[in-house]
Amino acid sequence: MENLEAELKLLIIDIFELEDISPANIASEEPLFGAGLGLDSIDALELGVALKKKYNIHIDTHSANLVEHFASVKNLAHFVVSQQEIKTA
Amino acid sequence: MPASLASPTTPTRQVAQLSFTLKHWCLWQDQAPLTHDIWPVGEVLPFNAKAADVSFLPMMQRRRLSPLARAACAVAWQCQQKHGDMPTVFFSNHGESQYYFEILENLAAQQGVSPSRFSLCVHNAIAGLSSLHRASFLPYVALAGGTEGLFAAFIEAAGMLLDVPQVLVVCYEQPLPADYQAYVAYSNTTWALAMVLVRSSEAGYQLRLAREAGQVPNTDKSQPSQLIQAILANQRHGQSELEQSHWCWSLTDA
Repeated sequence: MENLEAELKLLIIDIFELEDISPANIASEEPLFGAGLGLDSIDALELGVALKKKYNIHIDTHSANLVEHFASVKNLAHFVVSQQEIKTA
Repeated sequence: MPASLASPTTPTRQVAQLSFTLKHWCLWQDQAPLTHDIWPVGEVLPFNAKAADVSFLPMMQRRRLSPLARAACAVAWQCQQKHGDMPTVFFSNHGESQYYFEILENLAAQQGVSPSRFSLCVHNAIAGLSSLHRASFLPYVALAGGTEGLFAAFIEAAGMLLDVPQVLVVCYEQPLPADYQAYVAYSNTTWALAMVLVRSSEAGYQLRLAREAGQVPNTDKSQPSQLIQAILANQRHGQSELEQSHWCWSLTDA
């Protein structure tokens, strides 16, 4: 899980062109949107596309839990793993 | 029809004229300037290794700016610093052509489209970003200009100046993706020019533009803007040949 969190941090820095930020600056529990890192709604869409491409997972945009899944790097990592488990089940 | 609107019986040369007082201008282009003799009342921003300096913006705002957007936002910012907030005409013939061509290529290959690139490739995207950066609450328009090139921005500015005392014009262009280059005129450099214009009755440098209608044969599709070159060489008058018109312009200190 820690490896996946590190990988997600690099992905976030890369797709959002966060030139002044390194993975060490992003705490796994820190909010990604609004407060914390300060990403916005367009970034959420971008992140969804990137996750779909990299991990080949389905993201249900009507899911009530989506805000929670995207809240932090830690939650994202759990979400990616759970979606991959659904696919391989 | 009122007599004043009747067409002339002998249509000869159709000439339309615009005049402004130029309060300030600011230019950036992706080539180091050849000379330091430039138009008065303005400035050329540092070349800065092919990326206009936007360090006045926080990183979370900078990160979304393409090279073209950086240039446009930098020159608009400088003019607002000098003359305050004002209604703005943004102009670009082709806008974020690199972005929308990339999106079209992805669609053709049945790949996903980047949502942020999509939001940033619409024609008023740079105008929106710039007005957010500058915390401007005044009106703006984002023009494509058609066959009139950047002179369309001056027609719009002249109209706006009937209602407001000063207008910011921000024009910006970049080379088109190679696949488009055979079809339409395009810039061979990336550049952005901002001008603060007021009514010609005010004191200061007079910028006059005159449009003459008429087909211009064999316009070269790849050409630098003659106006940009003139500003950088302190050439005070000249003309630009466009597809369906030519525009004469001059800057005088009377």
